[in-house]
Amino acid sequence: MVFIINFLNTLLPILYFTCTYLYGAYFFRNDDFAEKYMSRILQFTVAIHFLDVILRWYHFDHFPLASIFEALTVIGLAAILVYLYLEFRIKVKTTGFFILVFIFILQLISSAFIDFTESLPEILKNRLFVFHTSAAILGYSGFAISFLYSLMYLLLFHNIKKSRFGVIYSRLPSLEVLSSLNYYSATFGFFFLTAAIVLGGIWANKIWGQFLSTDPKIVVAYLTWFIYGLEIFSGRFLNWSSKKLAYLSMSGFAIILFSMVAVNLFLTSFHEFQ
Amino acid sequence: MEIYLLGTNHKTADIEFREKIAFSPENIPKALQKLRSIGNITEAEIISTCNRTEIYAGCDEMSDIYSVLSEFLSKSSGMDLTDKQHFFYRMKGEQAVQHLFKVAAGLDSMVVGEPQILGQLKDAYRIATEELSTGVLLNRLMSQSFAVGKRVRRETNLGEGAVSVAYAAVELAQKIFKDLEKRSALLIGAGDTGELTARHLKEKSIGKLFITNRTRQKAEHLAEMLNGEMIDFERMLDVLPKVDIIIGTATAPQFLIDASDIRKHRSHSGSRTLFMIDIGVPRNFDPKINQFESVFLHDIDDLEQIVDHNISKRKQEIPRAESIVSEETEKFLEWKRSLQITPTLVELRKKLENIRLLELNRHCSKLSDTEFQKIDRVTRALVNKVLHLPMVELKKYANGHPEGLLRVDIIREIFGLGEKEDL
Repeated sequence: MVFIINFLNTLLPILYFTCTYLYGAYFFRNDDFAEKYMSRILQFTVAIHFLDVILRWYHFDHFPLASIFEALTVIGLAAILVYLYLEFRIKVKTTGFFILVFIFILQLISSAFIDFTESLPEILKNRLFVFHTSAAILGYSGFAISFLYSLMYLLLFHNIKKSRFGVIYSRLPSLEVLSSLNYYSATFGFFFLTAAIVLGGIWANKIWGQFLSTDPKIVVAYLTWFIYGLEIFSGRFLNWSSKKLAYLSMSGFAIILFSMVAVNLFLTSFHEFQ
Repeated sequence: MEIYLLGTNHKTADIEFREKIAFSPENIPKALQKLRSIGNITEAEIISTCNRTEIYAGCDEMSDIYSVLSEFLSKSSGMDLTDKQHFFYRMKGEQAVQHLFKVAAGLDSMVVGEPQILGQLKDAYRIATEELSTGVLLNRLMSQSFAVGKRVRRETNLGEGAVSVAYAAVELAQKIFKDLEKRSALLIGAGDTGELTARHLKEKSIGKLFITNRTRQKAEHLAEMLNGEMIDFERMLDVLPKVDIIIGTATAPQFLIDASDIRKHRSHSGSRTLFMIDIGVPRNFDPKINQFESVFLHDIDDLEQIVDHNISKRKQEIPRAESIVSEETEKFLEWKRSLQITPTLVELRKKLENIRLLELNRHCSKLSDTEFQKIDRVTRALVNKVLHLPMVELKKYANGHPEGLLRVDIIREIFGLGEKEDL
């Protein structure tokens, strides 16, 4: 079993690299071969990825979130599932390249540093914890996708505004489509982040008898929640421009990255990976 | 039977000459009749557009065919062509087939990959069939040329990307808005460019179209044609809050819309995106408008940049399109070779013999030796009898008579000859 998991762990970055390459060939060169096979190869890759997470869960008898590197691969899987759904919905495949570059990097880091021998904290067997973290993971993957669509939006926006009609202009879908993809994925992420905060609160209430917390990581989560909440509210009711919404998505994601890296490294928090 | 082509196009002759030599659609039927009365020409088709006039003729070897056709053109155009022979190209067989397929693919057009030519070829063919001036050879040639045209457009990007300023404007609008159906546009100036742009917008089913022009009647006329709404020239700023796209094609000494107009009329529409295209000379819109965050303003230079980019991209697709043309030419020539009578007779006999043997073998296990020999004899005789009539009939045309080609073609088709199958 360990052999299979190790094998899949090595195989996944290779598969994601292949997908990234094919989506890139389609984006930059409109390559026929890539167009024909890339979606099928990506679906196969995602199936393998899914199998990998399930096997790990089963074999090590815990939801694979014991380290940040386990979390990265699960975030990657959730994000690529969100992307596949969007690709299916809008029937546009030119944005896949941007998403896949990101996921490939996540998977590469995860595969390189993941360690199966770590001792397990008891906490991972708690059911409430699994729900809380799954919700957070789904939320973050929605935000990651939203960040990438915002990036594409801003790239296309500036290309059009400055009359640069190159590959970005000719291959990306319209600004309106990119903007709605940003908005949908941000809403998706917001929904699950809300769930994660509520579940976390209930759990904290059980253990420490208080719902809210001032732990740095949780404060960052509140801040993220506020930013995406603002984006969703103002996009819907205040008629803010798509460009402003794109900037909000990008800053929200920057804060998430900060909380994942900086808080884990420099601040002491009970709320960290072992 | 051979296919001959005499033609002139935008690469070999200037517009003045092409105009004189061209046939108007009403004159083509008569011209076709005349053509078929010349020498032993049995099939003819004339393709005449503003960029080319080409005569395709199917006949038995004729050494003087080109001078005959040129004389025919000279009469029909009323021009002496003796010193203008260098304006024409003369092709035969494979070359002529390849040329037509290139034309159909848009490879021979002024703007590579333009789609109109396919429609023009179809029109020309329709006229020719109405006059019954095409036969088995040209029928096959023309219908295959349509297939080539479609295949090239499907399998290559030869027709991709806007190559006219008007279309580039519409394509740009589609990079900003998702559905033009939900958007409305204001067209300022009802001249040629304006009309063309408005038509393209209409093709993309633009929601509402407002049209304004200094001369009122022109705007009214265009609005009626395109099912749009006419707006008074003086009051065009009033519709500003209602539109998403503004196209300026007017000739005016000063800016028709400047930054303060945009600021004033859009103050209550918030961050709504506005797309403005300035094709007017001198410019219709103040360039400062582009500073507004949600306003995209582009001028003719930008559009020309898109057009140039697309043309160079289309050129990269030429080798792929050409290889499709060669492939299809080979297919046509193979079909044409198959139309010879003797190989067809051999194939037909083989086909029936195969059917006979197959049936015989199916039943041989139930038969005694003598029964088998008897049935073998009977079926052999049957096949010979069945083949007798078509053989006699076909041999009548053994010297390549056009009627014979048609019959060979029909026989090949109904018996499925030349199809790869195992009997």
